[in-house]
Amino acid sequence: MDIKLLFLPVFVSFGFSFLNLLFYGIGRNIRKYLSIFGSLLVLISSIYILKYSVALHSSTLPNWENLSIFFAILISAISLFCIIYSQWYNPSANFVYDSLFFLFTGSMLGVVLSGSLIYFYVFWELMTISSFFLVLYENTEESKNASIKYIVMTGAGSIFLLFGIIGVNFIEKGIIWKHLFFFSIFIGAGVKSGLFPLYSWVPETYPSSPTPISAILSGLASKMGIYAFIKFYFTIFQPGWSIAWENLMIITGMITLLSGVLLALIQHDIKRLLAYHSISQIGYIFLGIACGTSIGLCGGLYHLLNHSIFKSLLFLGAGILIKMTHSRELEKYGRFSSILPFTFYTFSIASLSISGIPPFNGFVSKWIICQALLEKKTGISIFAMIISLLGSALTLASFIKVLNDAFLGVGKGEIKEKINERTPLIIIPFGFLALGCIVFGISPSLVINKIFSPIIGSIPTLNIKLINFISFWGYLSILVLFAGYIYLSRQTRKFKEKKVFVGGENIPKEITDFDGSHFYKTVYETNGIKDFYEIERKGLFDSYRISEKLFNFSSRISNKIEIFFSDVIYQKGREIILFITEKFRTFQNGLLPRYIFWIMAGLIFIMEVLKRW
Amino acid sequence: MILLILLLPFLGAFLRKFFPKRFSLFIATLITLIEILLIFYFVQITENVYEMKFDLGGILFIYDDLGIIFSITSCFIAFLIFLYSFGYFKEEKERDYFSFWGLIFLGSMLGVIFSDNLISLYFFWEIAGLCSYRLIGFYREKEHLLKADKAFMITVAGAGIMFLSFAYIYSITGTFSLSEMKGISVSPFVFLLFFIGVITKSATFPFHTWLPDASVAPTPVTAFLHAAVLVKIGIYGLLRIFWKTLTVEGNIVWALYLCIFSSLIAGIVALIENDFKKILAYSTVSQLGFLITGILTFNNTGISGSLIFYIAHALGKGGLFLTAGLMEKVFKTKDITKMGGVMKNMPFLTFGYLFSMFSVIGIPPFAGFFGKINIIMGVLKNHLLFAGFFLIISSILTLLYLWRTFKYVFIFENATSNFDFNYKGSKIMTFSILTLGLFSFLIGIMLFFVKGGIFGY
Repeated sequence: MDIKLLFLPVFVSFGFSFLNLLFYGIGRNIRKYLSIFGSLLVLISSIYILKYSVALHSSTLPNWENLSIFFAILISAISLFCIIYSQWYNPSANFVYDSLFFLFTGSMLGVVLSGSLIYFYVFWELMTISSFFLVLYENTEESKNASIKYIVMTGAGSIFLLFGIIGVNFIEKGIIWKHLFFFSIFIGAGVKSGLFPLYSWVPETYPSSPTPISAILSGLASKMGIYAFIKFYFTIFQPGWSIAWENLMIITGMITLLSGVLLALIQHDIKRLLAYHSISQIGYIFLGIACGTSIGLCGGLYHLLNHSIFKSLLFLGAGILIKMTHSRELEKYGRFSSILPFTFYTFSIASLSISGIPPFNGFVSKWIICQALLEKKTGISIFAMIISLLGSALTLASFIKVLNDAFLGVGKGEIKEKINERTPLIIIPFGFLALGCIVFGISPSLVINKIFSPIIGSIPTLNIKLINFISFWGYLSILVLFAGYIYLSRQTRKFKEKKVFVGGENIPKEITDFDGSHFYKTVYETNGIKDFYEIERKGLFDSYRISEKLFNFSSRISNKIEIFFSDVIYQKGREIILFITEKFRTFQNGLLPRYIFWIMAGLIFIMEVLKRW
Repeated sequence: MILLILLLPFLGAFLRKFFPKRFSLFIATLITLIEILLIFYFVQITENVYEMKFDLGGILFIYDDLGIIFSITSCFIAFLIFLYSFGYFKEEKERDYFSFWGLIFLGSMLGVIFSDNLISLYFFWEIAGLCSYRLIGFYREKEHLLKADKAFMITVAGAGIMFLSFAYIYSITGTFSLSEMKGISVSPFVFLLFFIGVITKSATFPFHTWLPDASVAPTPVTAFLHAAVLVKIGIYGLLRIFWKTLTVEGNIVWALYLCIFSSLIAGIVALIENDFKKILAYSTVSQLGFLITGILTFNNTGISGSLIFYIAHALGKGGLFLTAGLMEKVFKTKDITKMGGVMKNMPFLTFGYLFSMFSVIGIPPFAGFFGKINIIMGVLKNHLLFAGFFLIISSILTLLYLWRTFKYVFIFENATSNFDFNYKGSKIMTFSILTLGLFSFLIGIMLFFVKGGIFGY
């Protein structure tokens, strides 16, 4: 395989990044086309390298070339949609933004396409640095804090990953070595993808970065952690090399899933909410991969693909709402379905997908993950499956809140900026992404045969007939949905208001009407869950803040140690020397006889020495 | 002829007397430039000769591959520092002193590099200490002089103990000449005596406290101390005597762990410090611990990592210190929490600082990364798993405190007062910072593409 040609998308991306820097003076209109054209070219070159995909040679391991190409096409497609959208969202963006965007995309492509680990790490760090500047791009107070948190956490994570990469050569030296290297890789990949105790940068960074960047960060960059983890776990450490780690991974995935979705339930900020959902979905993906079986890997990868599609769609949709109201608060939205029907439909498709409602893609992948967990047949994995079902239900609850608050609902949103959603810059990305949600949902057997079988090999235990049956059901339900669309498109444009009478008394609207977010206060006040929220509010899950405190504490102690040693070595040494010289001063008191005495004594001493020699 | 490289700084320092005072800095810059060209010239004409020996009044001097690496790095950094001080000492009369003592300083470093003789090595070693004493107490205020005293006393005491080890070596081998004693093994006790000299000069725990205190000196001086000359002498001595010449018979893992402990403790202390130059000074202590750890592995990977990291640290830390000096001039303070908004106003400086920072943290493809990865691999090769892990922790600490400085100085904006970012002479200062940053990038790229970045495998 020609390694140079495999890097073609990376070269194209970096080339356009450089072009944007070179022609920094050209107008916004030309740059718009340059960027879209460049991104399209990246996608074409990613599809072009498909011809380097190789036939399956092993039935148990993932096939690296094909996995890389799968990731490359996913990355270039999503980033194409994001850059089309970003021409509408951020029309005044300067050349730095576009250049960094291509650098970011190119480095992600480099991460997945590089064969050697040192290239992998170089691109990994480039990805971290370029995304840091993209997060910082808006230069608000919030984004400054968030970007520092982001770079510090992911930077520390990637140094841990570096230790794992170095460890590849030393893995056979002992069992403690293996555990420590696995721990490093777990931390490194976990920070990037946002696993349970390490996700605290996620809910800060996604909201404060520009919306297309949050879509990419959530849809693609967090998947790089998963990719790195698959890469190390399935080749260097064989799956199942340690039962303890496997159980720990399933537990981590479970907690990530549940804590993400529980925290998402009480959010008011739409992007923060989506960020917490992103954490929870990563938990699903991680559960699938932690199984270590081919069906688990298939489920994980399928969910990864689906999550990239619907999460970027959700973020882009949120961007429209933000741009319209200049606010991220859900309370400021309401009844936008009449103004933004297209956004409403696509957003609801994505919401249903993320909650795992049957005809859409989220359902299929969650199904496969649940099956993988069941096949594991350990107590923890069965429990994890139950938790994942619960998580799915809570996700649906959360997204009903969003749909209700933003598009339907009682409140009336205040429109600060008029939005025309009927531009190709919105319709193309939204349309394709929503189509992806449907297509990957109703034809799972096709997707598994065409995309995942070349990567993973045969999946013996996967009941493809059952999934086919469900997809048939899905075709049917699409018809129902289409009918529903025709019905809804009439209904959603008008809002009916009914007066409320209690005991013949007309109750004012303010008392009877509630926002969705008010409704979810009951969730907050439920016993048991409330304790969880209280612990979170105290910041006990925030690994950043905890380690900051820890470091401050240890630096005070180290300072003490340092001052102590400085005293002992320098000050005490100085004092001792001064003390001795003080004593010597008594020898010379300025009287001549004493000097003569010392001279005589010295002479006698020297003569005595010479005599004996 | 090759003696010219050694003698030129001393000659230049006294030649300065014959010219008007305002030319002194110019002469110093010119001499370092000639020095660089001379070294390049001699490397060119003696392509396959790895060792050149020459005589000066009966004392033998030697110039080999190790010397070439150290001398070229020191001269290059010194050149940029002299260039930088055109901007820094713009309004001060002491630039004359600085160019004199700076040249002597550089000359003593070259003397240590060229020495084939323990006595002459000791001689130049002490001259460097003397120069550091004069330069740390540059403004001759009482507090500064006390700190200069401290630096001088600690390094001289260390050198005295080191001289005991030279005497010990003489009693074993019967000669002071390094090329004659090659291959002889000594006991760990001799190594300990010598090592005390190294860690006092190279500022490692517990003898490091003079280095953060020395940050009271003007910035070109601190850059000289940290990047170009002083602390690197100890490293050179260790490499020259215990890698090139002698071998140690016995276990010296304790020294390695001491360096790692020093690296960790200095990194942690740097996290709560607010003085820009003190943070960087603690960072130097931390990185030096890292570097000496790499040497003490005594295998190919670790040593080559240390050599790369020596170059990377000289370039990177030079860039960081020079930036700190410029910030000091702009904000009239050293407290990082009172600075802010530089990223917006000085984009080129930001690039220079970032590149230097990445190199010191160890982000690929900057030069520091290849140093760090080789050092850690060298440590792991010696079956020291937890030592390697602690080195990883140390680089995470580096990342934390350097991004902290970047956050306060460059990203956050200080709304309380307006600053004049157009400091007179900031152009030439920015130029030297940017050059240092670009060189750490270029060297990293070169290592990455030419050699693959990993050595000894």
